[in-house]
Amino acid sequence: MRKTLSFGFLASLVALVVCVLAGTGPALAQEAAGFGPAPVLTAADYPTVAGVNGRLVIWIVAQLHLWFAAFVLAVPIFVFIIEAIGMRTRDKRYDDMAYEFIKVSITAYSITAILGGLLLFSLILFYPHLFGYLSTIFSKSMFYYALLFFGESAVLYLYYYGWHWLQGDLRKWIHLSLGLLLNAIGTTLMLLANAWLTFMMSPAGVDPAGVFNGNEWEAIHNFLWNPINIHRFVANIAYGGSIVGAYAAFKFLTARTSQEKAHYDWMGYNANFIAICALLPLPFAGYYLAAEIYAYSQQMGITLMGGIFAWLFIIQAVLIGALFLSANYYLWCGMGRSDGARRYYWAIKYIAIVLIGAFLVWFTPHTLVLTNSELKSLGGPHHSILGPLGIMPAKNTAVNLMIIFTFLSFLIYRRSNKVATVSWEGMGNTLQVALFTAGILNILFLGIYHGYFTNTVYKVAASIPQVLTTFVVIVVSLVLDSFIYRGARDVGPLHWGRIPDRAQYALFLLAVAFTWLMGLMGYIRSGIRQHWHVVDIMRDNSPNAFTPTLGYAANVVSVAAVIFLTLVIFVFWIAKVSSVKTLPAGYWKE
Amino acid sequence: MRLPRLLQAALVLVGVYLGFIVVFDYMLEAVIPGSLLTMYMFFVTVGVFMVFTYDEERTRELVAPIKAMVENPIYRGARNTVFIVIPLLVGYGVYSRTLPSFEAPVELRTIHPAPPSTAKIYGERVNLLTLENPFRHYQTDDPEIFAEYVQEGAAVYIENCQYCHGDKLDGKGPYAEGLNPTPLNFQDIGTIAQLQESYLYWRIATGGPGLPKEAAPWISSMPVWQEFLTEEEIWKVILFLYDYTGHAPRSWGEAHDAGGH
Amino acid sequence: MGFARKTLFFAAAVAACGAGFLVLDVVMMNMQGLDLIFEK
Repeated sequence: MRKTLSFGFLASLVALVVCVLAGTGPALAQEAAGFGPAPVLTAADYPTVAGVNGRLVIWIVAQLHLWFAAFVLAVPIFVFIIEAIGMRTRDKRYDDMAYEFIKVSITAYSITAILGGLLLFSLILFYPHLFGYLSTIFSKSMFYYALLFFGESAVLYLYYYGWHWLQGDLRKWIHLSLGLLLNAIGTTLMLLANAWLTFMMSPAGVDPAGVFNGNEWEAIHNFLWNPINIHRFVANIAYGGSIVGAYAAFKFLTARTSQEKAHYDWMGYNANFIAICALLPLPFAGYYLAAEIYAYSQQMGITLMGGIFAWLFIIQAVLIGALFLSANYYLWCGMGRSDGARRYYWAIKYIAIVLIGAFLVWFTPHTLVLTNSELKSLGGPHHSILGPLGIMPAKNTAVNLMIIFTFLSFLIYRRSNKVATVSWEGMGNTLQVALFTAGILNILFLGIYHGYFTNTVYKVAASIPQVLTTFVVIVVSLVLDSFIYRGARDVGPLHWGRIPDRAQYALFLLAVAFTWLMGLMGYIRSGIRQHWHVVDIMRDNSPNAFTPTLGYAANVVSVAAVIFLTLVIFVFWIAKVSSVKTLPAGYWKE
Repeated sequence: MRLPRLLQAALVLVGVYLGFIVVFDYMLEAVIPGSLLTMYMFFVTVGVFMVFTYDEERTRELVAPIKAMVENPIYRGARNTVFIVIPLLVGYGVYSRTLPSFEAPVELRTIHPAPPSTAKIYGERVNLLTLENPFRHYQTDDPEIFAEYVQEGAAVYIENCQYCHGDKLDGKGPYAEGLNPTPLNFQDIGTIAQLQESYLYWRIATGGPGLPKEAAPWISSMPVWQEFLTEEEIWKVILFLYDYTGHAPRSWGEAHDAGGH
Repeated sequence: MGFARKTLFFAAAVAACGAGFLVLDVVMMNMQGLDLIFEK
């Protein structure tokens, strides 16, 4: 029981550290009654341990911890969804798939905990004063956080080990409730951790000198807390889906029998479906977060989007585009499972044209990289055609179109194996085309008119009807579709497993792009604090307080991503090993 | 007769590439930067690949000529030629890219340096997050006085700023040609229209030397205008900049009241 | 349905959907204290 062991070890370790800090942490002890200002540090206050670069250690460990945490928080969310679907459809395949997922996440769970412990140690070792200061403010929430891990572990083990025990009518309901509880605890843990990091960006409950007013809830409920919460929650689901998709792809490619292939193809499809569902609203959650950062501090906003980090946003845009493209490609490849897909193949190239076109607008940078001759020919760094594509209204319009057309891919995927039998099919289709047309026109109107002929208040405000238009198009056409295809007949059975291997690599790409993206964006989110531990309150005076070059940052994130993916492959492999039995002849006495 | 799919794909790519060049460089007379064109073409290629390979039959058709060339002994001559020409082309590409030249290295430029949250202007520390133009409210309260202030701002602009930023505020003043980077074009939707007035105030008052040290080195020759102009003159110039270009300064509307520092 | 009738039906449907979206725009902009059409 290595897992249980490492877990118990970690939980007690967390408790121990909290106790030690509470007992001897200088800041905690002396400020029992009133709180002091944030410490003013010098370079000497940052210990060098074993000659390593403290910031680099914290950076990589925190990133690895976050990736695993995102994974182990996300998997139970859709294990819960899939279990519920299984209960409703009484299709045992769903239940088996849910169980397989949670099995994968168990190993990941203990790695998360180990990394969490490592992060905590590293923080205490390399940034003792910062950690001390934060722990005076978040003393209660840190303590409850540690305690909650007992609940999380207990429920998780009950949920996993009790899977086959809790089967049947009432028992299945109890099991599903356990899943819900598991998610509730997991989400609470994430919310608490989010509060600590958003406090560092948008401190609340403290005066300008950093003196805490004693109201911990105020510090938790700081300006950026909820924007981050929403963004991370949605992103976790998409991320978990993509990792499980990669797992299914891995199993598909290594499968020996066509039955196995069919099973893992089906699993990959479902994982990808969940990932796409969460991916569609994700740009809006991100936009909301960025808008709130801007609203909180123009300085942070400009550093983020217009300043030095803007270049990483171009990489981000490219990676998000890659996510959309690979998700679409997977859907198109998957149409081959149906014998009726051919009827819709003509539409794919038009979808691709719009997707690529919108994608090019989406990543066109605001500040162009120009050679001197180009600079001369343009008469300055401003480009009259491409310049306007670099600002937010163009991006919003592009991403809404990308979402609508990704949805269209999904719609034709759904239709590919069906033949409608209702008499008004033609009319229904016309209506649907009209809905898409009007929606796209509206998105273009909002984006172009409000984006370029009004002021910033309008620009920001118009993004809301834009998003809602996309949302309405998706919901209404799904409803229409369900009526058109009521009582529809199938073209034939779906051939699960009849999908090119290339599609599996699209699933890998999805997972890798997601991982990398999270690393880069996480660095930006943290990096916009620049030389502050806690923005405008506690200055980072360590030798590492500078903002590293983009190349260095990208390298660190890439190395961390490779470590993470290696660990993930290990987790997949362990899950496979656990079901392998070797029967050596003549080893055990009879 | 239908074209072979490999040829179709190649034609699409060449067509899109030439399309970009023709449209931007010749029709619109605004060259497309090479760096961007490379990125565009990369993803156009990805898109073409996606469309040409999403089902087995299409993929087989696409790669059939390549496969035949590699595997079929009839095409040995073609194969050998391709196997020699492609590495040579790649080699030439690498050679020409790494060859030293007199061209200055490409720079990543930041159009809007991030402002500090506070700045020392006219000997006082001002909070740029809350700072507002003291004359802005006349726009609604008393349009006549407002128009007068805009006129005064215009006079200040013509006396001091137009030499670089241009009498049309388009960044093409008489001295502009001598500067690299060229002065900012205020007519562009991506410049002052994206910024709060307090940002402009900081940027004008502290000039190039006042740019934040976090992202140094900067190459701005903007003078420190607080040494030459009064506080009121700067605010009036800002009124003029927005009035003349027809842009509105960035503001937060109601959202700002809900948040705050 | 003939081609003309089909086109007419499609145009009517686009107009109807467009009107719906326009209402959505007006309501959403109003909720943020703005008119749909920007006035200087």
